[in-house]
Amino acid sequence: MAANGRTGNGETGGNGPLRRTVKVVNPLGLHHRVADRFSRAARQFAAAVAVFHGDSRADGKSVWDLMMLVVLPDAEVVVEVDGPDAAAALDPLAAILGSPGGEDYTI
Amino acid sequence: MEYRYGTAVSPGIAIGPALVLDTEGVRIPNKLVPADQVDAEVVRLRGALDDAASEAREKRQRYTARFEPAIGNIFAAQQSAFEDPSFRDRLEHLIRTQTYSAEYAVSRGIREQVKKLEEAQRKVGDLAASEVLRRRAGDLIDLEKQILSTLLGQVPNAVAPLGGDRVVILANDLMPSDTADFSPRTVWAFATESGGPTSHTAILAGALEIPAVVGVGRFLTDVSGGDMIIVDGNEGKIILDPDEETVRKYEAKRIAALNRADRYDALRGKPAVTHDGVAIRLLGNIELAPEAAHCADRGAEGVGLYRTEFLYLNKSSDPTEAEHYDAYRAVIDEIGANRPVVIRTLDLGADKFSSVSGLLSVEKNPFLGLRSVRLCLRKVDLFRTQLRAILRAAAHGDIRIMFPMISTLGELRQCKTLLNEVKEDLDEAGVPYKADIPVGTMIEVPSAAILADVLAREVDFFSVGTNDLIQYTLAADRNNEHVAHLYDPADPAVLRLIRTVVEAAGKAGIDVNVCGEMSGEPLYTPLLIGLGLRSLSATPRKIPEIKRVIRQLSVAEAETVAGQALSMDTARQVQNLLRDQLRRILPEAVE
Repeated sequence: MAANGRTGNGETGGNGPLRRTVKVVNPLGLHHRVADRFSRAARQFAAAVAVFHGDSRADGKSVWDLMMLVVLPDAEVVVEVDGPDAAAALDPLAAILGSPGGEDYTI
Repeated sequence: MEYRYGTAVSPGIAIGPALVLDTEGVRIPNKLVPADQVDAEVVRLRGALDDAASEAREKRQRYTARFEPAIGNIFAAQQSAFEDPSFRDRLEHLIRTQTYSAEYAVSRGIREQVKKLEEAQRKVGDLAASEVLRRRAGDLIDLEKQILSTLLGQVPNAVAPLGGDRVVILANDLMPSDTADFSPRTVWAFATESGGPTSHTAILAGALEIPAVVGVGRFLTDVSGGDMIIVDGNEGKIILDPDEETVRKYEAKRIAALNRADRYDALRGKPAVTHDGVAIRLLGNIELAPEAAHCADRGAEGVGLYRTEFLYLNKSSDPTEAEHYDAYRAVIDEIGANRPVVIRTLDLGADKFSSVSGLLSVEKNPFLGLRSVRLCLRKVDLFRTQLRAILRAAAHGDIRIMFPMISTLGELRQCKTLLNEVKEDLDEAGVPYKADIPVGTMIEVPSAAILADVLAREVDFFSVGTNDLIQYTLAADRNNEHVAHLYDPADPAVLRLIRTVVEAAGKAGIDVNVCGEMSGEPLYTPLLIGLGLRSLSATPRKIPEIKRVIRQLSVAEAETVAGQALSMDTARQVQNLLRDQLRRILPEAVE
């Protein structure tokens, strides 16, 4: 499913979904552990979280979905958050994909 | 219908239903369950995923405590995958809509994703990216393995024993534990993703005379248990999901081969004697004791080459003297105490690998490195163990000992000195053995062929190992596609060396035999006999065909062929000559 209305770098405000394009700089790409960390973080928020890569969409709260996006190092993805705490969710979630050590987390 | 190509390691054609073994040899049971069992199957799946998740959770705690969170996180990520609703929905959907068994749904669901990663891998040109994807596929297969072992652990009876219908075994590779029960009665053929001509699978398939293709590369993701599959062990290909016409075509080929075998069967009791009354001794090459029975079945007079590497392969420790001894006694039991059995001492290294600890380090040029007898002379304890067992077993049959890869007289003398020391040890210990065991050497290094007259004074027999002799003479690895064309048994340089060896043996009055693949090819039979060989050792299944050529040949004719071949300048000319000859003698063997 394509990300209709995706606006690249533009972040929409108000009541609509917020989106941000992020370059995945992890040297292994969006691999299993990064996906796990991202989905765990996403589940902390009430907002719906989606990640788009090309024409594919993943539920940001599902580690399996994220892995199946097949995102290689340096690829760009769009993080979309939609819900009451969307504004608070966007920064930390985007940071997980946009930082090199996304798998070094403590649970 | 899809063709896949690998390395042909055991000839023959098989058509049958696939049985897929995963990397650990777990049988993936039947694809489907009855419709009324679907709910129960979903419950099984959920239970297995829950168990796998809690196991991962325990591992995470254990490993985090012992190492660091980064290691523990690997298991945290696995736990998340097992618990993931999206993943679970997907698998449950497969069970409900396709009535798949839980195992099959897991395998199919995960392998679809593995396939997706593999496709992505083929598309990326970048090596690093390809490696990233390969590792991810490995992660997924690891998940599959864990769920399957949980599932199968819960319901051990889900794994039905092999039996009933014959199957084509498909696996990444086969381990000795997987293959213990395989026999031609239960298995049509093998095809594996990994492995080369000297892999366990290859050796075993050859020994059991089951068609096999190895080194196909990843294909298990495209096959499901029960799918029809064709294995062409002659040309090294497998055909997934063949259409009816292809099945018919291969069935006809299979039956033609069976008929040919029947025709040769009639030759079993007849002697291997040329037209003009010269007896040729035919012997078999073996790696496992049961093959000794094949030698006898096919009319071989004994075992001309017993390769002992199999005793060392896929083991975590060196074989003990008792293991060696038992193996050798088993061969004598199979073939009889009065038939010759030539045991070649350990010929490990270069293309053959063992897990024997500390044996092999990475060498830049392994074929010119520490392999075979060189390795044995370095690892003297290992060597002594084998020599003791051979000497002891020789008390019970006509066992002869042969050293491989001898390249200098010094090496041969070292081997003989060691053999004498072992004899003294046995004397002192009062252990019975055969003191006058015949000792021979392989001639497979050009230096040994050139110095054959010198070596002949020190041994009771020679055996020409053509595979290595050709490779070393022409400095070409036949497994290297860029230079394989140089590797040619018919090269005049090789023929001259063989002639030198036969002449040296004749002058010294010792036996000489050929035991490389060349002696199993009917094409070369007239040439070898013309060069003066009166003893040939070949893989047992080739013996009837070779015998047939011998019986239709006269020594005078053979000598003419050899004389012509020796006067030629190129391998191509010799090949053409030999093909013309064979077309005359045994038209059905030329294709």
